[in-house]
Amino acid sequence: MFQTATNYAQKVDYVMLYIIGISFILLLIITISMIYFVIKYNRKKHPIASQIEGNKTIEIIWIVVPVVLVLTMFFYSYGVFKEARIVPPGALNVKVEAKMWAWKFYYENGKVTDTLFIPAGKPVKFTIVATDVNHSFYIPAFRIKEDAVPGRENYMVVHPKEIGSFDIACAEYCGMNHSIMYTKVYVVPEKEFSEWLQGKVDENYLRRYVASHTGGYKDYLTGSYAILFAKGCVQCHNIDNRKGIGPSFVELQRGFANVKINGKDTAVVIDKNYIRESIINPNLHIVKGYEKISMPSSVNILKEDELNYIVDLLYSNFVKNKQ
Amino acid sequence: MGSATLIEKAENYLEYKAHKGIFAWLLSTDHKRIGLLYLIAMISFLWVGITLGFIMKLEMLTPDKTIVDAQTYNALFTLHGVIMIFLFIIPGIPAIFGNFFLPIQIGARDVAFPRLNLFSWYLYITGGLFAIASLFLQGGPIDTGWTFYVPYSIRTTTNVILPLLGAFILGFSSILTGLNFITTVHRLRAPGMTFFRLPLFVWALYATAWIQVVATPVVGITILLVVIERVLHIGIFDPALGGDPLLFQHLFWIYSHPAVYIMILPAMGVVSEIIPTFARRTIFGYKVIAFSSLAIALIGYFVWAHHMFTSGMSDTARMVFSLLTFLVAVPSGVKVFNWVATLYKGSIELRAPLIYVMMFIFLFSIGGLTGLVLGSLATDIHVTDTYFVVAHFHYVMFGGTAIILFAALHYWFPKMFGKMYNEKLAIAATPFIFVGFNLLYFTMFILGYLGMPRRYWSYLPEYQTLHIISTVGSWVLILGLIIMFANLIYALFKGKPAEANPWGGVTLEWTIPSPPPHENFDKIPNVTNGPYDFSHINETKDGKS
Repeated sequence: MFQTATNYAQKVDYVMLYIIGISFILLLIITISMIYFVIKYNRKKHPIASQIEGNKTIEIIWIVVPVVLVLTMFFYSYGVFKEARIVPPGALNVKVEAKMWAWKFYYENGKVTDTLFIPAGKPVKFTIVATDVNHSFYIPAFRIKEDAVPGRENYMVVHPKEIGSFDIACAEYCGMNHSIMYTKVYVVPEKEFSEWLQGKVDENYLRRYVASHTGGYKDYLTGSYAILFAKGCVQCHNIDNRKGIGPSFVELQRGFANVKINGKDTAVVIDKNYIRESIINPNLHIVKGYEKISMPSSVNILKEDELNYIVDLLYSNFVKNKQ
Repeated sequence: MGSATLIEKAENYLEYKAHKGIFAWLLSTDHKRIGLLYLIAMISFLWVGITLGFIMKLEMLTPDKTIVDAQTYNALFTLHGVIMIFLFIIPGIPAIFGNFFLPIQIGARDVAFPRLNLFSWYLYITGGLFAIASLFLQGGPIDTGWTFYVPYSIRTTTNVILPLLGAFILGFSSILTGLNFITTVHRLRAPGMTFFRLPLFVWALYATAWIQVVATPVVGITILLVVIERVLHIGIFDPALGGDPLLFQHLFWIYSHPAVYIMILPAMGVVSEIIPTFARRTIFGYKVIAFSSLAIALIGYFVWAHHMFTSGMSDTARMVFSLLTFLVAVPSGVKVFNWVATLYKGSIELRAPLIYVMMFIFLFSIGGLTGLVLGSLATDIHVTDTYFVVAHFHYVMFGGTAIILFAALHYWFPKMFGKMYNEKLAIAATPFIFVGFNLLYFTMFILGYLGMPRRYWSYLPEYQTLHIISTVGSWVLILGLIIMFANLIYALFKGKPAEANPWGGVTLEWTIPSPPPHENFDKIPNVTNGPYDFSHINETKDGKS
């Protein structure tokens, strides 16, 4: 449930355990003594109270001990944090640009992507900027975030370790679609990464690579609908059975669709071609009952490999899975 | 102290009417009536806030749209925050119970400036109406979050200016109330009421009042700057014009962090009243508690930037503010130890107000201790702006301040209205509140650590189970609150008459009749002992004096 993908994330978890552990003990002491006193010194059993005004020794102890405890927490935590702020020599530079409501990643050689690709085993320094309002570049599995503030260049360092794909979320409120400002980071081996950087393989290759190394090809297709979130599809099309502004993806399971083509009712078979057409040219055939609001073409939103990926995802998850 | 024979002649404040009809309330300068005016207004705003929160939790039942769209949801959490913080939690306890009991507890007939006090209430209402009015005007309700962060608050097309001006006006209400309380404590104490004989509620209000007076102008100016920036595009905050968005965050939190202590200190004061009364013994470490209020008020000024650990501040600033944040936790912790120690060898009667206080100690401790996670740099970087923060401040603000506001309502209800509520029902509401509260908010700690950011209208499907538990918790909690308020409202009309001192308390408010006479005391008392001197009561054994 709690994904840890870097050594740093592991360290943050230990700091957390340390603080929560001490806190839990303190909470236990407070709560148990409180309940014990209320029962033991109940007025029926204990009609006359002792008027104790204080006790210097005890009071000094319970000021000094917490001060010492919080200082240990501070130093422990600060040590872990400080390390994460050091930019190691030879770190890969990636510029992160946040805008309402999407991420863009700029690599040293001029490559630009919507999902982030970084090599395992090599430190990465992100230079984080925003073009409109505040955002925050947050990778929960790495336990780290840094705000993207217009007019500033903030930075953040990660030491990716595990091969895998992890969520990137926007953590600073940025308006209407703040909650779908998601994308993914793919951590791939250095070799595959530099091949991709040189243009020898495409993004889809890296996605498949990650998928096949973290639970297999099937997982890559069935596991995550992240891209449907990242690209805003789910704003209108639900991934479960509920109707949205547009038809739910689950309706694909029927294998055919009742559509209107040039005003005429027709039934068409759902295949990969149909899905592709519906994304590129949605108004060609509109599913019955959804004529009122037309879907914008996604040609400009999706790159070719992303389009292929989504078509594959929808086809294998919904159409092929039909009973 | 008060003479029993004369008291019968004095008209109680609910019967005494300086004006006719509704004006007996709207034009009254009696601190007690003004306290009730605040009570009515705030409980109304509280229920508006609860309703907004309830709708938000319904929306969170499913990962995508459940009942409202994204824009509406953003307006909901903004208004929930604005109403709960500016109209309920910040003014809450001082405006209601401070107004009502501060003069009585120090043996005064009213606050130092009664007309200014009434004016403060009108400012409060005006500010509140400004905030609410934005709902119905063109452009739609404000969607910036209650923190009004620039540049978003400069760019959004929703109604930002009106609620901002509302908050500005509310600020003045807060400053003037603070000024009034400071002057009252300095000038109107009864003979013999030295500073170290002040009840701890008064100490807490006094420390709070200084924060109100000194910190609030900062947010006033900040708000005006945002308004100016929106209207005139000067370039103070807007990076496109050469401004600095972080400047806004600093200015905002320079007020809004001390404001957290405006919210919690008075509640701590109430706890220090209720525990001695029901334990029938003096408070453990009176001076430590009094001074820790001042220490919190003081150190509280120097921790604001812990809200900005990921904003891009220098690492040195992050270190300093983290260290100071850890230190400010200590005086709060010490208070909790003192309260628990006050139960030791007491003669404890477990009545509704004390049960609320126990609930407070548990919930507030969780809130405070999880604050350590947020003060610590390594962990804060991960959980800031996630549900972990949402959980933390609800444990502190709701589990802390609001629960104590309920405790105070039960503790002083007989005194304020001269009626008793049904004790069994009051206690019956508490398990619902406790269980509902923890279901609702504890799940948010887990969600936050898992990486669920706050202010999200939709979320990843893997978070759904926890969200459902949380939403069900909100229903249980609201059920508890309905039972609690229904019981009190019923008591208002049908409650049995209350005695002057139903709990056996020893502070001055328990020496006068319930409800108190128009000017509190027919003869100003001469104070000869500390605030929690139960020695003579324990001698008479049956307890009630």
